[in-house]
Order: sequence, then structure tokens, then C-alpha cells
Amino acid sequence: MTSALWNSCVHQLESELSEQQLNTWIRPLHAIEQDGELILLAPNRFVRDSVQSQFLERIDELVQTNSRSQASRVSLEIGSHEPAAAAPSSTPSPGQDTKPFHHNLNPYFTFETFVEGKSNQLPRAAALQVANNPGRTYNPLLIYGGVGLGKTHLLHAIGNQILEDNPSAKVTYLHSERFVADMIKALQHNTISEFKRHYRSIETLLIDDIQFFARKERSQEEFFHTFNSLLEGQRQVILTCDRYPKDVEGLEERLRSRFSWGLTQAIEPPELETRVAIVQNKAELLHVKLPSDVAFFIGRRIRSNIRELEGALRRVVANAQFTGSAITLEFAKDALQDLLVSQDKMVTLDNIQKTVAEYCRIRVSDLHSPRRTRSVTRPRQIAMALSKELTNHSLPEIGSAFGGRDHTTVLHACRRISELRESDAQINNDYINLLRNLSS
Amino acid sequence: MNSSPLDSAQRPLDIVLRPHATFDTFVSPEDHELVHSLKGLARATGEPRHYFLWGRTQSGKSHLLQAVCNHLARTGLRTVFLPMREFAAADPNLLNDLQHLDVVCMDDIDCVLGQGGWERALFRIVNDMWLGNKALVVSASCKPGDLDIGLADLASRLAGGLVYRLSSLTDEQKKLAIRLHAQARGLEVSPEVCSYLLRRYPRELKKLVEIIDKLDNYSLALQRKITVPFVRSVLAGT
Repeated sequence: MTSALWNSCVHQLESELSEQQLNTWIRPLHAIEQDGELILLAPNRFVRDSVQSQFLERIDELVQTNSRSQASRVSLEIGSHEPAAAAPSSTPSPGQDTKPFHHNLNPYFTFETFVEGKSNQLPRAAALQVANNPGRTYNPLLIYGGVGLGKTHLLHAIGNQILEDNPSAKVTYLHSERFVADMIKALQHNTISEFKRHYRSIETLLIDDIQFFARKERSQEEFFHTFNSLLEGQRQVILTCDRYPKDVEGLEERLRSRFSWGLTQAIEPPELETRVAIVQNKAELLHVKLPSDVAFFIGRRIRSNIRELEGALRRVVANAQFTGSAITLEFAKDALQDLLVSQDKMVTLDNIQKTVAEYCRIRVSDLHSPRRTRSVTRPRQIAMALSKELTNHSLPEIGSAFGGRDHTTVLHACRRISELRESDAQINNDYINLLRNLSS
Repeated sequence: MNSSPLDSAQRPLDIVLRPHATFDTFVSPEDHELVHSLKGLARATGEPRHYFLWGRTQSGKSHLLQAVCNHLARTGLRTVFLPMREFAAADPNLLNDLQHLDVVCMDDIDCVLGQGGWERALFRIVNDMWLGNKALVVSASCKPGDLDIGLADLASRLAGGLVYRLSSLTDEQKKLAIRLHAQARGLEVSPEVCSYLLRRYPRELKKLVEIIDKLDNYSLALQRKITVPFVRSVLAGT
């Protein structure tokens, strides 16, 4: 429940602070009223310190004014308040072994939603075996391959399968980067024993992207002991890496060696047929009817990885749902235009003048000169109109860049080109070509 | 000789109620789908909850991100807006534990890319928000594939959300944006004044909005309507 007292304070702060100050420092705070005290919880020490130094005094004044008989003291702490129904935190806090064990798996990532193809059938089969017999078949199982090929999906699929078979299993998905960050935090807060106890109590550890341990000696040391402890207790460990572990520089030899004790499987980039099947499968999950030519179009155009493939499909589906349109090939091409075009180049006045001069076979200095012959005037007008369309320069600035001309000359040029584009197909064509050259 | 309004002793205080960046004052006819989708973040529970908005400067990215925060904060969600341009020299641990919030909006993330510590911190928050099924909205000047990111995993995760390109505003759209901003301050600005501003002053929306704020203050103090001659006299020399 939000605090009415805090809400009224925020309402007043809205008229005193800039929008940015409000959204960066005030809105992340969570307020709890307790025993005549308003406790403000900041998500981390940076927010707390900023609020403390810049805003706390004013907040305190507002609380005194607004509190009447309610809370009148204000305190600022680091903390979070998650409603009971909220998703579990991404990482179970170390030292919370007595509380019910929260797994943190994504329920969408299962073996059913994993599309099998030539590129991934072996790691999928190994993952399924491990999921059916945790701690008894391949231990550890290590899956390696490039970014966005489905490694994380397989980790979650294993975890979800184990939980389906045994809902009380202690399964944890963890990214290596998170392991490192949590360990540093535990060291800073002097809670490393709880940290160790927590990770060594897990029954199935799914740890993603172990290449992030490279060159972090202290983390490698800690992970080495966690890993040994789990394996000795016949707990299951499944790891992923973006390359063959022996090729990860900065990883200790004893870890590389341990990682290869069990089974190591490569996952390859999916071939076209698999990419198309992935798109179709995802569309089914979204309850969307997707014509096969659209699935092929997306599969052909997005070759790099599965995550981007799914992102592209979501964009098409979101567009179709918003407009109420059927998904056709033309529709998909249109919806994905933004994703497939190159980024905008930074367009400068100099670049516009150079491009127009080259296109019209005149010199840049002609555009600056006082010459008023048609062969120079028209390109100059086109360049001025393009400058207005593609840059944020003011009209006086544009005029100045074209030999010190007045802003009314720029305005006239823009109007003239606009009229000519309506009446003269050649000029319209030239303008569009130049626009395309400059903005693609 | 008439004294300039700039010299007036009736200069008002600069403390005024600031109209918030809202979805209603966001102008871009092509981006209705995006606005509709972002508004729905309050009730959305399934995927996708990650957005990547890209476009040139002045295409409205910061406005939209703040509109998301303002809109969702009113529904009781905890939100944060992080202008990464201002934090480029700060400690990346600034992002620690933000996954406990409901919505994280990070503007101009390209300003911190290329720095290992920042990329890892971004990677952690992107992963954690994804795992907690929390909403994440980030903006940059170009699409994920064109970002200068050292960490391929981060680029891949950013591209896995809903990616939208924001178009730069045309002059007509800028005029509408000026009028909406003025209306939010209870001010009427004629089309002639809008056209005059666009002809004579920097055409960046941010600057134009600052000009409107200034004109509002002076119009209030001097009890004058905002006309072209008034604008000219207030802004003389700027």
C-alpha cells in the first residue's frame, strides 16, 4: 500500500523540482508509515545519498506540514518492498536459507517451446537427459555457442523440467556476472559465509555465460569451491559459455579442466529451416496466424541470432494487433522497416552542400557564391531545402552557411523547391535521390 | 524610448508549475502504436516488457521515457528515469539493485557504452529485469545492431525486446508540440507566433520549449498577449 502522506509530499515536490529530478531521485523511493515514522526506502546507496544530500531537508519540511497527527519523523534507508504477489527477485538473497526457496526460472522457456533443428539437437538431447536424471548422467553439462542461440533457453528448460517432476527441488538459474556482483557485495558486507552457504545448498545450479569469470581471480576461486562442493554432493551443475571453455582467456586451468569432466556440447547457429520453424513456433505461442512467406521473410532477413528473430516477430505482431491488420508479407516488410534500415547518418550543412554539389556537378564554392545563374541557383535552393529538412539549424544559420544570405532567401528557396517538386518530376526525383543519399 | 521587457522590474520568479512530459503532449503521429504499447505496461504481465527506442536527438526519446515514468508512477508502480548522459562519469554501481523497482527507464545509453564497467552493469540490470519480468525502456541514437557495444551479449539482449524507431519531427509537428506545451501551461500561442519562432530561432524542440517557458513568464508579468512583436521584443538579443 502506498503512503497517503508520501503521495501528498510527492505532489508538492512535483511543482518544485524538475521533471528529471523527480523521476530520477524521488519516484524510485518507496514509503512505509510505521510507528509515527515515514520510512523511505531507496533502491541503492546512490539514490539514498543523492536524496539525503539534496532533498531530505525539504522532504522533512513537507512531512511536518502534511503529517498532522500521522507520522512526523522521516528516515531514509536502502531497501526494497516487494508485494507478496510479485515475481521473486532475480537472485535469492544470500543468507535466506530458512525462507521458502524461490526459483527464478522463466516459465516460457521449456523443452516444448524449444525448436529442435540440426544445429541444436545434440545439446537439446543432453539437456533433456540431465533434466530427467539430475545429478546422475552428465555432470557437469556444459553447452557452448555464440550469442542468442538458445543456451539460456535450454538452461531454463532443464530447470523447469526438474521442477515439474519435483516442485520442491532447489533449482537456481544464475548469470555468472550476477555471481560475481553478489560475491563482491557479500565481501563488502562481511556476509561471505552466508553467500557460500547459500550457493552450496542448491540442488541444481544453472549458471550462464561462464566466460564472465575470465580474469576475476577471486570469483573464480569462490566458484571453484562452490562447484566442487556441489559436484561432491552429487548436485547437478549445468553451465553455458560463449565459446569452447579451453579458448576462454583468463580462466584458470583447474576450472577449465573441471568444466570438461562431464559432457560438453556445442550449439550452432540455426539454419534457415530452423529459424523459420522458430518464428512459426513463437507465433503460435502468441496465438497469431503467420503466413509461411512472412516466416521465411523474417528467417531470411534476421540471420544473426534467435533473440533478434523473436524481437522482429514481436514487432510485427504488436503492429498488427494495434492496427487490426492481417499479417501479410507487405505488412511485415513495412513493420520491420525500422529494424532493417541503416542508422541515420549525422547530417551536417557541410555534408549537404558537398553531396548536392557532387550530384549537380558544380563546386561547393558555387553554392556560397553570389552567382545567380539557373545552373547554380537551383542546386543552392535544393541544398537549402534539404538543410531545413535534415538539420535543426535555424533559418538565419542556414542562410549564413550559404555565403551569408538572409533567412528570407532560405524561406523562399524552401517554398520554391516545394512548388517545383509538385510540378517538375525531374526536380522531385533529384530531391528524393539526394534525401535518400543523405539519410541512408 | 520604450524600455525592454527584459529590463522590467516586474520580472517574475522562475518558479512555476512545470507541465509534465506526458503521453498527451508527445507529438508524433507515426508512433501511436508505441505510445499505446507503453501505456499498457501498467497492466501487461506476459512478455514482452523490454523496449528499445532509437532515433536522432530531438525525436522525443527523453520525453517518452519520462512520460512512461509519470504515467506508471500514478498507477502505484515504482519507476526510475536515468539520464545516462549525466552519469557517464559516475560509478556504474548506480544501477545496483534497481531490479527491485517495477520500471527502469534509461535514456541515451550510448553515452556509457564502450566502458567495460558500465556495459557489465547494464548487462546485469537487463538480465535481472528480464528474469523478474519487470519493464525496461532504454533509448539510444541508433538501433541495437549499430551500437558501439563491446559486450555482444548485451547487444543481443537489447535487440531481443521491442525495437522502435522514433522519427524526427517535421516543422508542422514541432508547431503542434509547441502549442500543446503552451496549452499545458494555460497559454495560447497563435500559429503565426509558432511560424515566427521556427523561422527565426533554433528549431530544436527543447530550445523552443524553453522559449515558450520564457515567453510565458514575461507575458504573465507584463500582462501582455503573446504576439509576434512581443516575442521579438522579449527575445531581442538572444
